[in-house]
Formats: sequence, structure tokens, C-alpha cells
Amino acid sequence: MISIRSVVFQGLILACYAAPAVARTIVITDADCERMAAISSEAPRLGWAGAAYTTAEYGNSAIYITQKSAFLIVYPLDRIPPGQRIVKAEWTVPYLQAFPLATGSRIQVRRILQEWGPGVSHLYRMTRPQRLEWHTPGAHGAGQDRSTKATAVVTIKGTGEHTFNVTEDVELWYTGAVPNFGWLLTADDPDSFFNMHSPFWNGAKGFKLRITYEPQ
Amino acid sequence: MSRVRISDRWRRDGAVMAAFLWLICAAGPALAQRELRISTSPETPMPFVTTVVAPAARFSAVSEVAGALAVGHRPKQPAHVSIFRLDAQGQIVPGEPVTILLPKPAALGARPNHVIGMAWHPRFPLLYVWQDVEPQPAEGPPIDPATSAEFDHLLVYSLEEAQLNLVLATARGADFYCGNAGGGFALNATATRLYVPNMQQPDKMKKMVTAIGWLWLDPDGLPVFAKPDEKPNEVSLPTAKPSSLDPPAAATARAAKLALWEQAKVAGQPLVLRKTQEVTVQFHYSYPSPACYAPIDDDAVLLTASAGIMSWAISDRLGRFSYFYLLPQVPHRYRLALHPDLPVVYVTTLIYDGRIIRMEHADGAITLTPQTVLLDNIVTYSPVQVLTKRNQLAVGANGWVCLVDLDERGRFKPQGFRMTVNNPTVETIAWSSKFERLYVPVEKTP
Repeated sequence: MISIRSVVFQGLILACYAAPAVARTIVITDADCERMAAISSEAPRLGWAGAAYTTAEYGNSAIYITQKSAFLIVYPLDRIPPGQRIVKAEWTVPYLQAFPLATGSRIQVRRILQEWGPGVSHLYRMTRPQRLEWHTPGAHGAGQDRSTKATAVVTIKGTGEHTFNVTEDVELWYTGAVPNFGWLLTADDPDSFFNMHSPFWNGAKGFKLRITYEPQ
Repeated sequence: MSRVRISDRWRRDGAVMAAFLWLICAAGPALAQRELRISTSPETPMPFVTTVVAPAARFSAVSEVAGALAVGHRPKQPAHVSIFRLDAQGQIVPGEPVTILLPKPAALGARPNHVIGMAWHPRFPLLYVWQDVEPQPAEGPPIDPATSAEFDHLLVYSLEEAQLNLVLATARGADFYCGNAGGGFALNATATRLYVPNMQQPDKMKKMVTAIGWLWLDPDGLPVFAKPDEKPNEVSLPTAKPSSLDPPAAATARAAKLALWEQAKVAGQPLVLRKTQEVTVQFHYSYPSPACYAPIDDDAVLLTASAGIMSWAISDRLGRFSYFYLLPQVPHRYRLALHPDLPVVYVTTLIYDGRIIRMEHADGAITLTPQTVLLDNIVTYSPVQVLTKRNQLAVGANGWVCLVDLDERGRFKPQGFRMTVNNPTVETIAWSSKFERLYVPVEKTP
């Protein structure tokens, strides 16, 4: 005997499994990222030279992006199930100021091409398990340390958040076409000073990677 | 009968439905990957834990060389320090502990003095104690330097004989701020540097500012006094040689040196401690300075800052100090402890919640991002101790000692335990790797 109750129950299961494929969006924040660093040629041995407080004193309460410094971050993509297609990926960063005030900061995002990890600094991409230098200090080696083609080159003004379109990079990483060593965010010209909030201070969970995917 | 069957089917289908809905919910947003929340399992007693009746304990340090456990008490207790003898297995020898009242000059009157830190020499039965006096109320004037001029912050006790002897009292005067509730105190692994709290020095405007640094120790374990023609606090002093003296030779050297110093004192010659100290922006006018030291090697030391932790790379002229701010912000409550075998540091936030933070360092600099474990329903009161051979971490808490399992990289595993102890605020614990024993001061026997 078929009861109304069992029809409703089985219908619910069928609806879940046989529903037309729909896109899903996830947000991965800096709190999910194990690999992050703020490197600077002015403190070449430090992995957290984000903000310069005074001579030889640095910290992570802000992330200053200049031509001499960079922010590195790897977002884990393992929350995207297999068999998907990346529809859209956007990376948002929170910031306080962008100098010069009149013209804004010229900022670039590039994929990092080499593995990096513990001990990362301006000089080294890791010091454990072995000490390995960047091809060019500061991960400046185009085509060696960082991608030749920039993911984004933008001029940012004012204060608030900026969102970069990173769909192509996330698709490349997700499909395994290239390994995911994350992004490097740095400034393009000597006058730029981009003062980002810190993932460990007032910008916690503000560095958001929003990914929309759907079944292939 | 039929009604019962229908009810069973509803229950069965309901359970399936609940499981299905749970699966849908579980597929939603996950916890941040760096955060781990665990409920500790009760496990009382733990066979490797030795509880010690030492009321109002704030500090403890175990010496396998001296065969003793030293416990420093909170202010205004009958004794400042209690010494418990250990047997060959590391068990507490029955009987009353030896108690110490730390000396202070009469000029300080009724103002109580108290322990701020303790450390044992790794090769000799010498106990270093750092003391201070009760701080002034926030709105009150600073302590009159005239009353504290003869207050010795550093006391060195010897357990070479059956009795405990005070062999040296030093570190007095304007170089050390007087009136602190706390401060970091640590000996480096080679026993050449004694990191001390609340140093100070005049700035360009002749105003005293706080400093961080260490006193140099000789191979015999006593502090080094500067030669008459030497600047006592040059930063670039040569590294002292680690002790190569055997204990009897060190004892002889100490006896000879103490006699010479006594003669110098009688002759009115000033003895000035040789020290290395630096001023940082983070600690300007801020006490304690710092709350905690964790020396890594001769070139690097980690410290707590008011807002997190910081690295001090002594040979790095460009990136000498690096601050790592921590969230949530609980100023002055962070305490750190190094993993003895791995480039890892653990941070607790005292009297806040059950959070323990793990960070890695490389060449002394903090690297990558923290991993956090949050122990449910736990409030931590002590720095952690890494139980090396057990691959576990221990922390004192609100009526418990908690353990968290670690993996081979010192990362938190999702498994923790808690042992009930007779102490509502376990502010200190001490681990002996030789005896594989964790000592936990308690208020009284169960």
C-alpha cells in the first residue's frame, strides 16, 4: 500500500537528486588560507613585513602594497566538488587608502608560478624543508616566479573594497592545468601606495574569493 | 498492534528524513580550515600527572639536575617560593616543602614583593628568581626611586647543599622599572643569557622608556659584571661561551667570584651587570615589557606584545622586529611557549577562552598563518607545555588540566582530554621530559 506520506518522502528525495543542474556559489575567505605572507625588500628576511612602523619594525596590522612589497595568498579550492565548470570567480580585497590620492594606486594581481611555504620572504620562497630562493628576489621573476601576463592591472582610488575578476586563474587551478600557488598582489609604479586592511586585524575575513560553479 | 507498526514506520522514515536533512545542512558552509573546535573527553586521573599541594601557585619550574620542583606563589601569600624535592623517579618526596621569603629593603615598607619569573640552570642546581613589588594604583604616582633603589630584582639560589642558599642578589636601581605585576623571564638553552623583564633606559629627552633584553651569564651560571672600561649594555657584545664547566668546577668558580665581589662591595666599587637591551616602538612606556620571552637561539627570540606576538632577529638590521597581531584582541593576555623540537610556537590567551594558537617560525621570524584549536567550555590560565615524548600539549585551565593531541608537525589533532584537579585556576604547570611527568600545583588534596 502506498501512503501519501511515502509519496511525499520519495518525491522529496527525487526532487533533490533529479533537479536540473544549478550553479552554486561559495565564498572562501582569508580565514581558510594557510599560506599568506607580506614581503618587502626593505625587510628582506621577514614573512610578515606588512606594515612598516618605524626603522626595522614591521607587522601584520596592515598590508602596505608598494613597488617594493607584495602580498601573497593561496586559497584552497577543495570545497569545489569534482566535475564542475567555473562560471565566475571574483577576489575582493579590503583597503583603507590608495595613494596618490588624485590618481590612485596602480595595482596588479599575478599568479605565482613556484611553490612557496614556511620561511617565505623577499629573499626566499621557502626555508623549509630546504632553503630555496626566488628566481628574482621579491618573486619578481616574470615567467619564473610570477606569471608573465597579469591577471589584473587596475587603478584603485578612495577607500573600501576592490574586486578583481580571477575566473581564468581559478579555472586553470581547478582543472589542474597549472598548480595553485596563489596570487601575488603588488604595485606597478613607484608612486603607488596601497594600504590594505589586515587579515589579522580589521580586515579579517574580508579577503573573499567568491566562486560560482556549475556541473559540466 | 497495527497502530504500533504505523508508529514504528513513521519513526523509521522520520529518522531517514532527519539524516537526509542533516546531510543537506552538513554540505553547507564549512568552518574555516585553520580553526578546530573540540570537546575534551574527561580522563581523571592521568597516570603521568603529579598534583602538588601548593596553594596560589603562579609559576613552576622543574629541575632534573637539582631534583626539585620550584613553585612561585601569587602575591600576599605566606611564602614567595616553595621547593619540593623529587625522588629518582620524579615523584614528590613526602614532607613539607622548603619555603622562601624573598628579601626586600626596609625602605619599601609594607609594600609586598612577589615572584615574576623563575628558571633553573640546565646543568647546575641554580634557581634564578625575578621579583618585583606591588604596582602603584593606576592614578597614583610611581614608586619613589629612593625607596626601591636597593631592591634586588634577581635572586640566585643554590641547591648544591642540603639547604637552599641565596648566593646572589642583584639587578637593582634605575635600569629596571619597579612596580610590575608581571613580566617575561627566561633562560636560553645554552644558559648564556637570562632574559629579564621591565628593563628601562633614558630616551633622547632623558625620559625613561621600556626596553627588552637579557643579562649575560658566565659559564659558572652567575651573571657577568661589566669591566670598568666596558659599556655594560652594548648591543653587539660578543656571544658568551656556553658553559663547559662541570658542576664542581662551576661551584668553585662561583665561590671565588662571590668572594671577589664581596671585597669589591666592601671597597665601594660599583658592580654593573653586563646586559643587552633594546627599545622598540611596541613597548614604549608599556609594561610588562614583555609579558613573555621564548628564546629560539642566539639570533632569535619570540616575545609577546600587547596585541600579539613578535619576533626579534638580533642580527637583522632591517627587519629586526616583526609583530604578528592576533585576534581576538585581548591586550597583555597572550603567553607563548616554544615546541622544544619543532619550529613551532603556541600561544594561549589567559582567562579568556579555550583558544590555543599554533604558529610556525623560520630563522626566528613568524611565518605563514596561525592554526587555532578552541577547547569547548575551557578557559586557559597558563602557558602551554609540550609533552614531547607523548606528542601532546598541556595547558592549565579552570579546574582542569587539558591535553590536546599533536601530529608530527605539532599541529592540533581533533582529540583532547581533561583531568579534573583541585585548583579552580591552574596558572602554571611544569613538564619534565626526563621523568615524563607533568606537575600540576593544586590548592589542596582531593
